Amino acid sequence: MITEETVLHVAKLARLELTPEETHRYAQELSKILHLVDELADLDLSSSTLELVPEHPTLFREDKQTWNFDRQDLLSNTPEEENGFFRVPKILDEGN
Amino acid sequence: MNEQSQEGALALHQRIQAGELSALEVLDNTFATIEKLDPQIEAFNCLTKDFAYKTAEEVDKAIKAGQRLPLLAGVPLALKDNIHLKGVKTTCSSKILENYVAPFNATVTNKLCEHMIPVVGKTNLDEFAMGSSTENSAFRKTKNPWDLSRVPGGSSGGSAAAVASGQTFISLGSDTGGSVRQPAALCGTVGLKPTYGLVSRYGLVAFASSLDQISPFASNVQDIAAVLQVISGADPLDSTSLQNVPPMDYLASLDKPIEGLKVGYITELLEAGLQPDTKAAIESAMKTFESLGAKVEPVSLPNLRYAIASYYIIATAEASSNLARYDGVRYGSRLNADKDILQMYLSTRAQGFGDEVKRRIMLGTFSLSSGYYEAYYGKAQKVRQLITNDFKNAFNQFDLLLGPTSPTTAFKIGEKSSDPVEMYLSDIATIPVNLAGIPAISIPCGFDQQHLPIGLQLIGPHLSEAVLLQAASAFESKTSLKNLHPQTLASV
Amino acid sequence: MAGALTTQTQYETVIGLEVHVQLKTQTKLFCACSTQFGVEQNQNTCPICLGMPGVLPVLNRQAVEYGILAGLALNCGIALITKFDRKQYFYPDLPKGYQISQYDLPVCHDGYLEIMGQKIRILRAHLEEDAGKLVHAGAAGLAGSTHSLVDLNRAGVPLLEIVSQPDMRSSEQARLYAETLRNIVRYLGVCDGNLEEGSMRVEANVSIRPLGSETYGTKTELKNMNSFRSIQKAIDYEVARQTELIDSGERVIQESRLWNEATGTTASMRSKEEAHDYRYFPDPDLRPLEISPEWVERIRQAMPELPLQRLNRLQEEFGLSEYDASVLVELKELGDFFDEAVEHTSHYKALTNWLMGDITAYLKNNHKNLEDTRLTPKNLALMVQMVDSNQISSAIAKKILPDLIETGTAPDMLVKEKGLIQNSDESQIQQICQQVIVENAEEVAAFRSGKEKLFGFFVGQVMKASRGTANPEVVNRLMRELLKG
Repeated sequence: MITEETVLHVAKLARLELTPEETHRYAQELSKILHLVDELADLDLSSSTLELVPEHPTLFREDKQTWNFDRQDLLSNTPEEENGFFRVPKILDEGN
Repeated sequence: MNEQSQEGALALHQRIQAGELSALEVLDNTFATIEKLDPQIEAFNCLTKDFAYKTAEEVDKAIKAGQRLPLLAGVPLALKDNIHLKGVKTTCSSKILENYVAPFNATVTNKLCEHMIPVVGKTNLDEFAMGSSTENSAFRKTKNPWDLSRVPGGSSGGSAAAVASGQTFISLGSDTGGSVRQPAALCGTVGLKPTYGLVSRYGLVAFASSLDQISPFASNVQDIAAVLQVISGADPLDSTSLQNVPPMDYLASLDKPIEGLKVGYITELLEAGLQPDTKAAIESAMKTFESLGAKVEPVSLPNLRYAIASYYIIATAEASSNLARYDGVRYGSRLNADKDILQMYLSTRAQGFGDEVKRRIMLGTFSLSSGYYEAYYGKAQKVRQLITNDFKNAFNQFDLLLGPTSPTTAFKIGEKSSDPVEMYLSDIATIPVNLAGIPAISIPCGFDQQHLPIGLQLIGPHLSEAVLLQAASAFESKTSLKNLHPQTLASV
Repeated sequence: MAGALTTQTQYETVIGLEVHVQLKTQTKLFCACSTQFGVEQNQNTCPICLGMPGVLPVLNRQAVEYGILAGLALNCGIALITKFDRKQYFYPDLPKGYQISQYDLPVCHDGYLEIMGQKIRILRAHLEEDAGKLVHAGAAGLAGSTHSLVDLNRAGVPLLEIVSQPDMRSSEQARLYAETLRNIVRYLGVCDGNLEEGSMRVEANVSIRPLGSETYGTKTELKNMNSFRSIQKAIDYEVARQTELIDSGERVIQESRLWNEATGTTASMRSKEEAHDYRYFPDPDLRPLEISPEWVERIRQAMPELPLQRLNRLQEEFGLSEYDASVLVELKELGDFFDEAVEHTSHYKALTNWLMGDITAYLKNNHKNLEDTRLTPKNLALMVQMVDSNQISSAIAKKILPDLIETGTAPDMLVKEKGLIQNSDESQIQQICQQVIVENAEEVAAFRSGKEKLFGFFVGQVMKASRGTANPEVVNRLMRELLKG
């Protein structure tokens, strides 16, 4: 069962702000969906391991600069730009 | 009604090549039809007249110069609004991308350009391709051309409706759990999901990376073979695209007899939950195959019942990750830019994403989160392998597998949208195919009592598109269920 | 806490280092953008490294090769199958909202680095993409800033993260480990190893525990150490801080701490948020990578000489002292230069002295690197030969050195141009000496009456008169004779 507390925690991880109504509703809906998934609990898969044999060879790229994009084109969808930088509101934590 | 719609894309292309029609004329007709029909159908998010006419000009110039045209040149096509056309908005029918202009072409779009195929517009979809009815679009609800009070299916509802209503002959959608096959079935068109990796995903806005495939719609099997021919091929920009596929001529696979073809009907799909008309149509289809010389026998895929659970864990996990980039920093909508960045993230994503998208992001985030990974994501991947093996085993005995594409025909708008689980369960026939990465085609096989189309699904092993097309073509010839368009629209 | 303890607990320091090494590829890890330094913000970007909708990563083969090469040099096992995983968190310098990294199947594992005869074990080395850079506006740093600016030129640049086991027991060891690692990656040619510029970044996990204890204490993670010296200082500070905490009965909190060079302290980075849940899962856009033993072997065969190998070779082949050899190893450009110069002369010791002495001093004073100058190994060798064969004195050699360095003109040409060929003609020198004696009668008298120190003056005068070309050994001999009276 998914509690509202779990919903809030997950929403935080996913950077989604929820209203109290949404929190309540999602808790119910997600619980219902996970009920589907509970079927998987019947399966004993402890002995099976995932084969990690690559069926197809890795696609590589040669170490050459093959393209050049115009910065203006790339920045044309930017909500807020400053001198070719992406501008963001103040950051509160040091991050990683 | 578009007069051209009786013919089909390839036939139209041949008429253009022969100089009977100009590409310009064809476009004029197409846009006239769209103008007449789309206000009710709402298949399109936007039209791309400039681009289309420029392409048509190129075609007509080439004809005048006596050149041989590439395959399908001059035939108008509708593009799902999650596939990039440079310089035009790709909105994914989401508020968070409502003003996003694509800075580059998808690889498939480049192929369309090389073939001088005019893209006439971007079609509506369930937001970020998440849904089975196109009701989750942030902008509009596309109607099923066969009954405007019903859904066209989803997530590629717009592309399906555009073809079904005769607005365009061909269109492209994307299929992650059935998002092309199911709308094809509900709209009476053909829809084909290629083997995973046969068509490049570069330039398709990702929903679930290990499941997504760009997939074509058409009114008949020959046309779908032609579109597949155009869009398939290795791409150095997509690490998951198949690199060493021998060149195929899909059109050459058609009209070959299927005597001796071994077809297995999936018993699990013919059990409970199937609408009676649908069941009857499928059983009739099986008889048709037998009359064509194929051997039809039952086959069981014992782990099929776990497919939906496995899919919804894997797809939402990948989606939650793929959608993390929509944060308002570098592109897209941005809210609360005057506060701090955390608030910006929270508001931008909360307001920019619709309900279904948020639901799936949370489910996916949950499945990957600390303490739950093994129980959910880890297990779902193992189940996926079981299902893949079920198919492999089945293909040891059979050339193709058969079943309904959708358990029901088109439902009413609003009928299932309040219960996400009910919506998910309707994908039972299509989802396992994406999990296994194998190809499948949906073709019309009849109508129900309300004259709503029913779709038959044929599934083949890895890279068996030629066999699928061969079988579909034989079936189509026998039943003449092709180029189906609702008569009710003709009077509009 | 007065009087509570009669003896002070002895603590042992436990250190592990995580080093991020920026790989010197031409292009980024997953897209064809240039990695070139020093361009304007966001000039080296494309839809892929900007994380735009609809893009996909494609792996740079050279980055993998560099990773394997480094792993081999660090005695690691190379994975037969490796894969990439998404590490998920939100931060404005991370365009996709996840970093493509490696979680449970890193490309290299279980290696070691030898320092001071001891093996420091390396747990793993894995490939990952770098994040972008942030510039904070309105304040000196993050705190108090009004907004920030994001530059994604660096986003997507390939990194190799090398993680050691907590085998180090002193800040000095840690520093040495970092320096040795830096030398290795420079010798391999996979990284510039420049801490100040950020092509190599070091984080230290530091904890203390009572001497003899088997369990680990709580560790803190130190960041922002931008020189080898600051690595050592930061660890020393942190050890002292943790010691004081534990001695006063408090606990060490597991957290990240930033080293502040100006204040010489570490400060907690702890934000109000909880620890990250990275939700790692295999990146579905990339297939698992199979690394064949043949490929690894080809890379191993092509491995350039490593610092330790050069150290031994310089001593064995050229008879250099351990100290001299170690300097040439440390300053790789000098070592490279030496290797070329020895093709033109066998005066190894002399070469070494010039390189380590006057040439290094010159470069330092003029803020230049060897590669910025026009000094060639051949020319240096030639000059050394000329001194050895008495064509010029070492004093003259020192005189022409700046020109040798700046103009690249051959030493014999320089000497000719300036008329500085050493003069060993005894009769000529005799004449000059006599002249000097005649002109400095007072000093001569003073010398003869006991002022021995004046000898240098006379020699100096002869050198001056001969514009430095007189053979000093001859001058000394003849002058002594003449001054005897």
